[in-house]
Amino acid sequence: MMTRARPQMTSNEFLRRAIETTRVGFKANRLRSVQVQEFEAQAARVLTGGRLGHASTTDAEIDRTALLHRALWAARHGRPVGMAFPATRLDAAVADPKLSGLSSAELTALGEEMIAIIRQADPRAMVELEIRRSREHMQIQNSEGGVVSAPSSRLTAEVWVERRRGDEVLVMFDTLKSAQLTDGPGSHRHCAERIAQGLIWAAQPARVQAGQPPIILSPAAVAVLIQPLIAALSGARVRNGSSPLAGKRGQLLFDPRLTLVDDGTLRHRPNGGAVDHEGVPTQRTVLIRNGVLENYYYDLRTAALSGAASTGNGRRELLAPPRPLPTNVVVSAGPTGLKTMIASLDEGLLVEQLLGANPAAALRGPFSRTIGLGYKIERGRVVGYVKGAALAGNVYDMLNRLVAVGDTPIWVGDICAPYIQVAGLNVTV
Amino acid sequence: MVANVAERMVEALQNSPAPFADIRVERREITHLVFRDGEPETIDLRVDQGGIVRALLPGGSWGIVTFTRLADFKRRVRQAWEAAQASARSDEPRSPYPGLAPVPPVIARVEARLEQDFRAVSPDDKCALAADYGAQLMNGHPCVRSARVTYQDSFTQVHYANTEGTCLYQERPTIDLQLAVVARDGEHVQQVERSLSLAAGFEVVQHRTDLVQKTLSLARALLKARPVQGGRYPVVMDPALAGLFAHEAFGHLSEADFIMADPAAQAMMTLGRRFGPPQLNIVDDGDVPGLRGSLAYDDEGVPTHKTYLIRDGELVGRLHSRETAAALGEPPTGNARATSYRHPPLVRMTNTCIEPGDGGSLPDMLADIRLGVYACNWLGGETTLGDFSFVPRWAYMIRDGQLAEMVRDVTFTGNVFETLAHIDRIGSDFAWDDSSGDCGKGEEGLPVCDGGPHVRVQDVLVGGK
Repeated sequence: MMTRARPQMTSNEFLRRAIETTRVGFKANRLRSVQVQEFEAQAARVLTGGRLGHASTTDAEIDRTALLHRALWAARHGRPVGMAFPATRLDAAVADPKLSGLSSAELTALGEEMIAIIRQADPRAMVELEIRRSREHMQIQNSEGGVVSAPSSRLTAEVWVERRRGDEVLVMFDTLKSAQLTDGPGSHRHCAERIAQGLIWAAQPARVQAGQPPIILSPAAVAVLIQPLIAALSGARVRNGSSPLAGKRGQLLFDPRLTLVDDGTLRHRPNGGAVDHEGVPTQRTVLIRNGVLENYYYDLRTAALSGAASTGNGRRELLAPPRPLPTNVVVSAGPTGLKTMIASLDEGLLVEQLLGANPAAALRGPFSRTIGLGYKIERGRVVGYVKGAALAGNVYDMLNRLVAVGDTPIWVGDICAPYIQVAGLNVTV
Repeated sequence: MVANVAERMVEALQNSPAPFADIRVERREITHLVFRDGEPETIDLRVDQGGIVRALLPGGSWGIVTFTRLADFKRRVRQAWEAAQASARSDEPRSPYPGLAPVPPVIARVEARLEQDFRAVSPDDKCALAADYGAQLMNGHPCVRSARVTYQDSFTQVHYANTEGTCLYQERPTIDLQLAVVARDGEHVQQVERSLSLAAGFEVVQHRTDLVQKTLSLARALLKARPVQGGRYPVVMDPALAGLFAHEAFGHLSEADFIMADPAAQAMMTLGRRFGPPQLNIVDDGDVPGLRGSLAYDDEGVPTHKTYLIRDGELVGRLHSRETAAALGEPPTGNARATSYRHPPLVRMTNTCIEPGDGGSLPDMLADIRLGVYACNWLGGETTLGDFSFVPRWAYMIRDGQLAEMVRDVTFTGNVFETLAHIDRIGSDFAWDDSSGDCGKGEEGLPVCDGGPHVRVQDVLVGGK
């Protein structure tokens, strides 16, 4: 631990991450592989004369001094930034020790249960599934007296279901992420049951016509479509001019029923914890409140450059330096049940899954995506599935024209969203 | 890397409890620089090193161990075998497992030959290069509000050995330069990026004012572009987009792992089935020097080569790992690739292209189009085995046989089989796309390359207003 400042250094930070993951993989409904991963990395950052440099490695032969010197070289070329490492002292405990301790046999049992639920709904379904349990220990030490020990664990299941009839392939996928074993919503069982329900709805193909039908977006579709909005709320994009939300804090930009929160404190979520990857305490940041843009999210460096404070969103992907990234994004629920939404439509489309790239151009709002899976609604009922049509619109316009907001939000990866009925989107066939 | 890696790997495999096991050890040194508005934003040096052991049991169960500490390989070999045993379920019926397709053991050393090795270029010079391109972009036109220059070089050393006697060493360099601007014209803002990525040395990123000019002119043109009207159109794709189409719409369907255990899928992809017109030839070729998808041996030690996927319009081949080749009774093709030591190899593409045909030049293809779209380059694409979606980087309307106004926010959506069958002209030109962009299948991206001639497709669904 570096506590003494050397003449040419102002401050420094060391991070060590040790991650152990057990994964079980199923292909064509059968267990095919068990994989164990052990990963250890160290990273150093140096702030010298206000200039920041970063170096990282998995090579245990590169000791701290050597890593520090690499970071110091990098800092020579850095741009001055008025940031400081936080003096957080934390010795955290894992949220769910039972989850941490799941063995490959137990993970296999979870996977088999999911496959059984799906295949009971449709025996033709071919399931590819990976379930993994990760244990991570993140340690941070910096020259400001910050000492953090933050163990965490997470369960992830990625399900990919194919149902073939000749050349017609129906694909459904879902990602479950959790930091806490649970029986109800958010459980592996619930994830499989939702896919099973989808397969039952998709018993028959249906036709969709071009136009602007009433559209109900599933939580998965909402999660995909709001990604450009979440990206636009990054303090880094606000600062570099690519975000359309720059300079608009305090303005009513969306339907007043839209509230969007980034919450790093949720302990049952994999991206939740007491601190971020810089040791800054996490917080619940209201990004949009009742349609009004309230906050952006920041890491230490971006906050310093923007004259703001870190919101605890400094996150590192494996060996990369921290940057502002969302943690857990929650779209607030409304009063309307899905059954009520469906029953209210004489003709409409429930969009379950969307495909398509998410290029930087989408940041400004326009999108055009392929409907990977949708359900046709006629006279208040789901009558069959549709796929292959294109759905286009502008996400900012769409969030200004909400028709109804669902009452049961569901976690899709790290985003929690309800079903939302919208207007004004174009379907092309 | 630690000393004697190869010897230690071979030694550890000698007493492998599993009948087949392999070890791959990689060390990757990366310099990653991001300059924003001419000033340094991220200066990052990384050394990413680690290993992976795979063990295979006779029933087809795999055990895999990955690690960052390069010590005690014997323990890792045993650990992988224990994981394989955990994945072999005794209560499942044992159907015969064909194992891995036989390949001759290889002992080889493949070193990179770079004109100007970027490892010998000083970090100061790399920063100066990035700063200079940043300044050129910022001063390039008044509409430029912000410029981002990303420079990355990566040198990977890979050791591979297996229980059959293969022992390989390969070096895989890549260099990337990405130029991006945010351009504004009143209320209208566009973000544009052009890039370059090759298995080459520092020489390819120097004096690239051509890339600067392409970035600036695309930004200026897109600021004036209107959103495309959605509908069905004849579409002419430029070589880069045609290559992406081959990759996304067809290449992924050719990766044999998806059909390996699925008889219905095998029926769909029957060898000899007609997929497109007789002029259509699609290949995957890992043996093209200098391209980012090229490699001498794949990550199972199988030499790469040119594999015809579609010849004269008919399905003639698939891309394989040793396991999928054995499962389908076909020869291995050298397409088992891993993104890093953290993952086992999957069946992946290398450099995928549509070969040139007899369809003439771009003007020839435009001549008889009354209303259509000419789409160029790509921003991204996605496929779910049958349905695909992709986004060109820029596009023009075609009106009465001529290129007309630029349009934006274009997406193509389609079904592979319908779209391939609607190809009616395959150009006589050809180019590989040398821009950046990884193929995603699983958690990390893999460098690939795509290419082709200009290609014309009738009746394509274009999403838009």
